[in-house]
Order: sequence, then structure tokens, then C-alpha cells
Amino acid sequence: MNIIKKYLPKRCTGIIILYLLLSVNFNCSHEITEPASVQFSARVGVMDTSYITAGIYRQPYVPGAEVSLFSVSYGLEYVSISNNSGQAYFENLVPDLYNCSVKRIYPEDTVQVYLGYRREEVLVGSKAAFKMGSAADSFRVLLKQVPRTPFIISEIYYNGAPPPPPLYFHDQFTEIYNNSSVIEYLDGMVIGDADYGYKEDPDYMYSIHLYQFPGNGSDYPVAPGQTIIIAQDAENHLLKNVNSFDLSQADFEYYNPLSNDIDNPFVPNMIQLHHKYGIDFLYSTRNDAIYLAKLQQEDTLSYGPFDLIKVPKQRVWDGVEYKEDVTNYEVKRLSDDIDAGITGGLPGYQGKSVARKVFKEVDGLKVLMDNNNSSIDFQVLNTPSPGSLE
Amino acid sequence: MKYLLKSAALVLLLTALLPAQWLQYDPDHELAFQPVLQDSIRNKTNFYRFSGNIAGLSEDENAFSLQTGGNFNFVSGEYRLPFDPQKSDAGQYYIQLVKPLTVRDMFKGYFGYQRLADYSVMWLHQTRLLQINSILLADSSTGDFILSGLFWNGEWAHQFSRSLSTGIGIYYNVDQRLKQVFPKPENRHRDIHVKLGIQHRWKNWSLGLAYRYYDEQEKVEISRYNLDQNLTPLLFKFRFSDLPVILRGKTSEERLFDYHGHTVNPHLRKVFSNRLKVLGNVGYAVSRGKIVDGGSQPQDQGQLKIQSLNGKLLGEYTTGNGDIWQLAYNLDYLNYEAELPEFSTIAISRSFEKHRVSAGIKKIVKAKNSLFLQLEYEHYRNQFEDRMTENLYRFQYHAASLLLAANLHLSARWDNKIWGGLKKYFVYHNTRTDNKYTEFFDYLFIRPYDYFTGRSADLGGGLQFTYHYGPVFDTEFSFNYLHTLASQTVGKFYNRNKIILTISLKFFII
Repeated sequence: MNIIKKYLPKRCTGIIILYLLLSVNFNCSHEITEPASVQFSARVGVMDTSYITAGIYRQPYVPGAEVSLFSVSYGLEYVSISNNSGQAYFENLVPDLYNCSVKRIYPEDTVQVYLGYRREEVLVGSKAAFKMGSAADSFRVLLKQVPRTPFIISEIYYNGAPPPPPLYFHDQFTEIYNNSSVIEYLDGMVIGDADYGYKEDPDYMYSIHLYQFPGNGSDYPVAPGQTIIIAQDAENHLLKNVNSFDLSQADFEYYNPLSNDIDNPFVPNMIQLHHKYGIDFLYSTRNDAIYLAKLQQEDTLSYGPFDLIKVPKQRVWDGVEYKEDVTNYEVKRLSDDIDAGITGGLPGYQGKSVARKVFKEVDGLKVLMDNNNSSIDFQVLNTPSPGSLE
Repeated sequence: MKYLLKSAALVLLLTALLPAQWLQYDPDHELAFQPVLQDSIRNKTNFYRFSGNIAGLSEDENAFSLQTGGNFNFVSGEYRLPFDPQKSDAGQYYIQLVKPLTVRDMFKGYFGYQRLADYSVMWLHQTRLLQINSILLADSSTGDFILSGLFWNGEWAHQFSRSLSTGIGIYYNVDQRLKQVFPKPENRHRDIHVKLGIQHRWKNWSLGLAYRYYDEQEKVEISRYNLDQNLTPLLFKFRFSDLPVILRGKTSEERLFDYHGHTVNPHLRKVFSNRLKVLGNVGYAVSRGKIVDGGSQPQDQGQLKIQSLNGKLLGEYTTGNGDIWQLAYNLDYLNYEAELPEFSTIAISRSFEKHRVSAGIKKIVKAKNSLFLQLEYEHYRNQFEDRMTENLYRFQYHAASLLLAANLHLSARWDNKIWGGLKKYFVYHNTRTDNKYTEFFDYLFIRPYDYFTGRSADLGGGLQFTYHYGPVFDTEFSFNYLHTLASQTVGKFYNRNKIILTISLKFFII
């Protein structure tokens, strides 16, 4: 201590004390405090601008709607029922991108009492891939009647068969289903794939390939509950890959007459309207968007940039988007009114397909889900089922 | 000569063995060969080694020399974090040149190759800032990682006058780390550090300011595997304390982790007399990092902010017969914050705080032989806060250590050292919230805290042999052994062993 007093003039003391203070005075608290939280509460308002809810409840706010929030990054699902004011409340949400789907089913009895006709009415709405980080991100969803398009895409097998041999993609198929209760005709309908970068165009789909069902209007009827298979190559693929299946009995086949594409003479060919590249109409084994449309006589197809064919968006009946990364909403091909979600999540050559879920059965006929959101409507099948529903 | 050799060895230990990721903070405090480090300071305590100020290079080195050698680490033992390697071997080989360019300019540069083998590493692909990274990339396999890389460093110090000197330096490292089993993630690093320093002497005061800018990058790639082999990797991204693990069956993935920052170190030295010196140093560093996944379709995976503060105060008193008394205080504080992708919201916060007070004495026994004794007290706090799931984990410990060393001047050509030490841990506070963790996350992140609370004691010892041959060359060999003893479950003890070998040969160009 004497040494320190002798050699430590007063003017130095301050500096050293300053250093000591600087060193020891930093965050000395040892009390345990509750952790801060980023969880938040939010609400979703549900409204119906059609006559249905107004006719039943005399207001546009929809009570009793099932509102689901799906956390894109974490796979969490939150479900709440809207109250009499059409508000659904959620607690303990975490900041993330969310998909929202809303569903309200009015049973036949209720519709008959209030609206005067006997039919079940289904209202759906959705909001896709939006950021929610605080209560200020509460929002409203407008419901609409489910457009009962008769034909929907019920299954897409795009993935390719596992090796051997490697890279076997020739057994791709698309299954179309008559989701209505009456006979419908495939004649003249088209199937195309949507390219990236044109999602925001309100008027047109931009396609790399476009193929049309043959027929003069009544040649290809499809009964209620019937499935139709369109194969890339209508042959028995088991002869080439034991992990594949037999598509020699497919209903239609994509055929490119300008290449050495396989042609099964016993299977009707789809008519090639546009084919930008490739030996055949090959779907990507990882990321793509396929749609079904019904062109009218007055429609004129034109071309967009990069040799893409333009199809009027209002003619689209159904569309499905699949990706290897189902959380990647930042880059989508289809707009929300066609498909607000993403299905798939499959790496290539797994031998799996994506198939639409069954919503309900009516008089023995399966009615498939159609919320225009493949995240909700579709599931992955480990074993594809061409020609049948899961 | 011996001081030159010791200085070079020390600098190499501090620089060449430092992890290339400058901010990779290791909260553990192993017993270090502190008596030698303290004893290696020459007659003048210089800022080059105390504060890392390269403006003080001329005080540390003043001879034209060429040095080569190697540093080797061997780590093994079951006391480890779940994702630490079961054992690891590391080797660095270097060549160094120190040359006075003019009477006022000094240059020092070294170039080296390093190889690190980590055995039986579970899951994780990344190597940097693991416990703060909110979204970790991993796969389902356990395997060996082999890293190989090159590094080099160049420094130039210039004396404007007797009282003013400056320095500039650059450090560059590239390495590649490859997992030896499917899906064989490849991990590459690229690091650049730019260092500036200025030092001013006025009467008995020396003031210095060191600045460092660093830019470090880690890139992880998993390339598409050979499809003929019909294998699909199972890739994970771990998120937070209680949220589900996301399973992604992809065949390829890419992650880019970039961070850059600044460090500022003001420091001062006051020489009260030939016997009493006080040095103080404060360092503050701040950096920001960003993680992006997806390669050609990049997806933001969040940002990191890192702040660190360290302070040192050292007082040294030399008695009339050459004994040295030392009193030192060290503070280390580090705070990490991880932000969510797309949101300016802090999801994870992690902080470490360590205080150390030590007192030591070097007693001259006979001629150049001496004994060294040091006592140290340490207080440590570690806190992890997950704001997504409202979970908090915090623990603290005290530790006390005793180090003994002997410096033996056996002949004009031989100098040897021997040391031994014991550190005892006393865990006294351990708190966590009662929220439920998933079993998986508990194993990955919460059990690491059991790793700290189970630590019982560290034992260490070592030998150093130094041979001088006139003014021509010095050669040195050292062996250090560290043993950690811990109890992670009741009644069962685990240990971890670390062996450090160094060898160097330094030629003086006369």
C-alpha cells in the first residue's frame, strides 16, 4: 500500500479509477428477469360480399367461419372460429410469413330457410404468404363462393421414377377429375405450363407448352366422379424402370410430331398448340405450374416475349403449382386467384405424386377440395395412383 | 536472443493459433501457460503484444530473422457439447520473415498452411457462431470433417519520431472443410483483416490506438449427389427453442454467411519508475452478419449483430533484487443478437460476461532462474434468451486457479521452463424458464448448459525447451497438456484432454 501511495500521484489516480470503472461498471446486474418476447396477438376479419351471408345474418360479417393460419417457415398451424362480428382472434403468434385460409359452410337446411333454395353453400377465402410480426398486421379476408368448375386437376405425377436407370421422367402423368354431378366434355380444353415472371399480369397466362384435347365438342364425355389420365408417354414403363407403372391404358398422350417422341397408336394424342422446346411436353421434376383452361370460340391466342404463348386468364379453370421448396413464396408462377399455395416439397426422382384431398362424399361421389390453394388442397402420395382417388 | 525467440513464439501462439474467425468467442477459460506469457515480456512491456497494436512492432522485434516451425493440437475425450467433434487434430506450418527495412521501418510477415481434422461430428455443417445462429443447417449423419487452408499476414510499422509510430497490417485466410461422408457438405472460409495502429509516447506515458476491420465469410455447399446411388440426404434447419425442426429432403443446398465489423482498442501505459508500470487497454468491437440460403434463389435467413467489450488492467512492480509482482484485472463481455428474416425483430439474444482478477509473483532464485506463482479468481455468466418461445437460460460460476512455474537457465545455451496448474469451478446459480422445450432442442441447445454446470476442474502442465546457438539461431520446443474433469450425470465423470505442441527454428540474419 505504501508503494502504491508513493508511486501513484493523484493525477494518475483518476485515470486508473476511470479504467477500473469502465471495466467493472458494465452490466453488473445479476437479477433474473423474464425474457422479452416477440409473440403477438392478431385478429382476422371475415367478410362475405355475396348475397349468402347477408341473406342469412343480415350483415356481411361472417360468424362461425373456420380461420386457419399456417406459418410458412415453422410449419405451425393456428385455427380459430370467427365470432358474431366476424372476427377470429389468435394468440401467441410468432413473426413469420403466413398463409391464411378461411372456410364457411352453410348447410342445406340453413340455406333453404333463409335463401329459399336447397343447396349447400361453401364460401372460401385466402391470403397467401404475407408478413405478420405484430398486432398491427391484423387483416381482413373476403370470402367468395367456390367456383364449381367441373374439371379439376386431381393428381400430378411429375417427380420421375427412382433409379435405375437414372433420370427416368418419361412416366409423368396428369389426372383430371370431374368434380361436378353432371357429365362434362373435355373437347377443346387445354393444358399448359406457366412460366416465371408473369404472375402479376391480370389478363394472360404465359406458357412454354400448350396442348389441347381433341374432339368436336362431344367426343370425350367425362362422367361425374370419373378420372382422365394424360400421360407423357402412354406405354408400360415397368419394362424400362421397375419403380414406375403401366400407362399404356392412359386416356390421352402428349405427342410432339416434330421430334422422335413415342406415340402409342391406341391412345389419342393431345393436339400441340405450342411447344417451345423439348422432345416431349416434359414437366419439371422439381418446380412447375400446370393449369387447365377452357378456350372459347372467340378466343385468339397470341405470343408474348421469349416465344411464350398467351392464354386468357379468365378461361383458366384450375391450376396447381409445385416446388421443391414449399416455403419459397417469393418466386411463384401462379397468381393467388388460381393457386394461392404451393404443393410438392419433393426432390427429383422420388416416385411420388401430389394429389388433391377428398373434401366430402355426396351420394357416393367424392367431392375433392378446391380452395384454389394447393398448400391446403393437395397432399403427397408416396405411391401415385393414376386413375383412382386416395 | 531468448527474448526474441520467446516473443516470436508468443506472437505465433497468439496470431497463428487464433481461430481465423476472429469473433468466434470461446467462453471457456482453460488454464493457459500464463507464467511463460508473462515472463516472455521483455524489459519493456510493449503494446504489440498487450493490445495488439502493430505500431509497436519495433519494440517487439528489431532483428532481421527468418523463422519456421509448426503448432499442433490434439483434443479428445467425452466431455463435450453434442455437436463438438469426438476428437480433433490440428496442425499449422509456417514461415515468418522479420526485417528492418530502414532505421525507422520494420516489416513482419508470415505465411502458413493449416490442416484440421474433426472426428465424429454430429449433424452441423457450419463452424462459426453456432450457438447464436438462429437457423442452423445440418444433416442426419455423423462424420469426419477435414479442413485445409492457407493464411498469411503482413505488417509494416513506421517510426516518425522517437515518440510517434504507426503501423498497418493485413491478414488473409482461405480454407476449405469437407465432410467425409454423404451428403458431403463443403464448408469454405474467406477472411480479411486490415489492421491500423498508432502509438505516441510523452514523458512517462504511452498512448496507443489500434483499429481492425474484418470481413469474414463462411459458405456451405451441398452439391447434388450422384443419382445413380439412389441416395437423398435428409437436411435440417433448426429453429429456436420449441419450434418444430424443419425437414427438407433436398439434394442440394447452399448457405452464405457474411459478417464484417470494426474493433477499436485504445490503451495506455504509465511508467511510474523503473520499477512500477501500469498498463490499461479497452477494446470494443461491433459487427453485423447476414445469412442467405438458396444459392441461385437466395432466401434471407436472418441477420446477426455482435458486440464485444474487453478491458485489461495490469500493474507490475519490480523489486530491487529483480522480483516481479503483478496484479491484473480482465473483463470480457460479448453480446449476440439474431434477427428474424424479413423482420427487424430480435429473436435470440445471447451474452457472455467474464471477470478475472489475478495476482502473481516471479521470484528470482539464482542468477537467471526464477519461480512463478499466480492466483486467479474468475466470475462467469452466460445467458441465452429466446424471444420466439419466451425461454431464458442463465447460469453463473466462480472459479479459482493456482499456477506454479519454474524458469531454469541451465547453461548459456539452454533455457527450460516447467509449469503446472489447477483450476476449480464452483457453480452457484443456474436458472431456466419452465416453458417446455422439445426433446430435440433440449439435447441440442439446453444440455450445453449442463456442459458448463458439470465442469469440476481443469488440470494443466507443460514443458518448454529452448536452445540458443550464439547470434545465429534459436530453437524451441514446447509441450502443454490440459485435462478437464466434469460430471454431466450424477456419479459419472467425463474428461477432455488437450495436447499442444510447438516447435520453431529461428535464424538471425547477421
